[in-house]
Amino acid sequence: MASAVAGAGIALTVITQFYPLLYRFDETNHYVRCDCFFLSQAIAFLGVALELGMLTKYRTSFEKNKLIVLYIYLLMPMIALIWQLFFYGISLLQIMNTISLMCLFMVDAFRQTQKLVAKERELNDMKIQVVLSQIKPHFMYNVLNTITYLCDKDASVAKKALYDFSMYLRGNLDSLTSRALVPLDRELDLVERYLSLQKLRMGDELNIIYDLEDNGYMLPPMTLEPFVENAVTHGLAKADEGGTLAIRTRLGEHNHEITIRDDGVGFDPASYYIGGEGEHQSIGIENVRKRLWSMCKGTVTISSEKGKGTAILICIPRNSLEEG
Amino acid sequence: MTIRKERFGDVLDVTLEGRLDTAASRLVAEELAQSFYGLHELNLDIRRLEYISSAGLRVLLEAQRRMNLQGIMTVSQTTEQVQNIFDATGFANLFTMR
Repeated sequence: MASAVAGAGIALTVITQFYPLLYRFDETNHYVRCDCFFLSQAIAFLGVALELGMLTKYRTSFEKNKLIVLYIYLLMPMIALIWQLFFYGISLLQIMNTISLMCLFMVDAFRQTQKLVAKERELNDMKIQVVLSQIKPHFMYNVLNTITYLCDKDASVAKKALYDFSMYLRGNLDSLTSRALVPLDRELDLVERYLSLQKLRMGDELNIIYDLEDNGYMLPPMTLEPFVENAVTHGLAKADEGGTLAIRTRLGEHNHEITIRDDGVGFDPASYYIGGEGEHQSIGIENVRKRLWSMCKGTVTISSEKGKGTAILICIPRNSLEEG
Repeated sequence: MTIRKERFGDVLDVTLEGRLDTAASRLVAEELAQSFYGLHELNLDIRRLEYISSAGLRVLLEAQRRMNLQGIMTVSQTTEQVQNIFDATGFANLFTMR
């Protein structure tokens, strides 16, 4: 139907070029309406009416504001078409079209601004969640208690532990306030501080392997630490004899790959996200996943087996920012 | 035990920290075995090694044997306790100490 109306309009305009049907130009080269001019208006009117009909039919698909603007966008030219039938001299249709388009543009710009504000709010929420997830009273009390004990037993170890703890807290804070990608070395440094503090408590029950073949690239801050922390507190600390945590970096064909593997208690991935303690942990993991994707199109793959351990594979595209 | 391996082409830097007992020796042996391929230089940093068992000595000896065939191996200075064991067992003469 719409094609037929549009076709008729084009056909009439083409015919008018050879035969004065809708309009003509007089001897002084001025535009003059012909007897069938109303046809051009009628066709345009029909076209807009069709669009109005469609809009009304599918009105539930649009938001209220968008719907109002679309109605204005169609009604204003319609009014102009009727006006032009009876009054001659001002090309009201062009003015109305311009106003309609401006309305559309303004609403679209407003929507974009709203979207930006919402995104900003979401990012802030995520940051707050990360901050909250990093405040771990148990971990802090344990470390401070261990350091207190070490002060009497071995002052030099206590001194190093205190230094590691302060650097760990500082690194955490820096990472949380940073929006830019950070070098892998900085992330590894944070992880090493954390693990050396955990090792104070777990001793020989915690073996750590750093196997670093690929370095010199950037990644979002606080990417590794949450996984390492999960591996220690939920994987290895719960195993009777502790275990080994291995952090390996490899250069793949398309990605920089980081694997964090522990041989702790593991979990059943199928039941992990449905209620229980996994749900709380998964918020932190989901945050990392979102930040990885939004900041450098990176991905996380988690595989685990109860009783055998957990492996986390983080992939960062090779074309993301290399460390300068 | 903390094992840190950093590879730069055909050079591998390995840092061993903590107690190299029987259980940890298995771990170190496995990690070294994975890295020998294409290796020309192995640098062992044992400055913070607190203890080494006979199984640990065996791992270091095996590494030295492998590297004799394909390149060089150097060993850093170490703690007094470990150095005493090296001296008593004659291992100090086997390694190229840095």
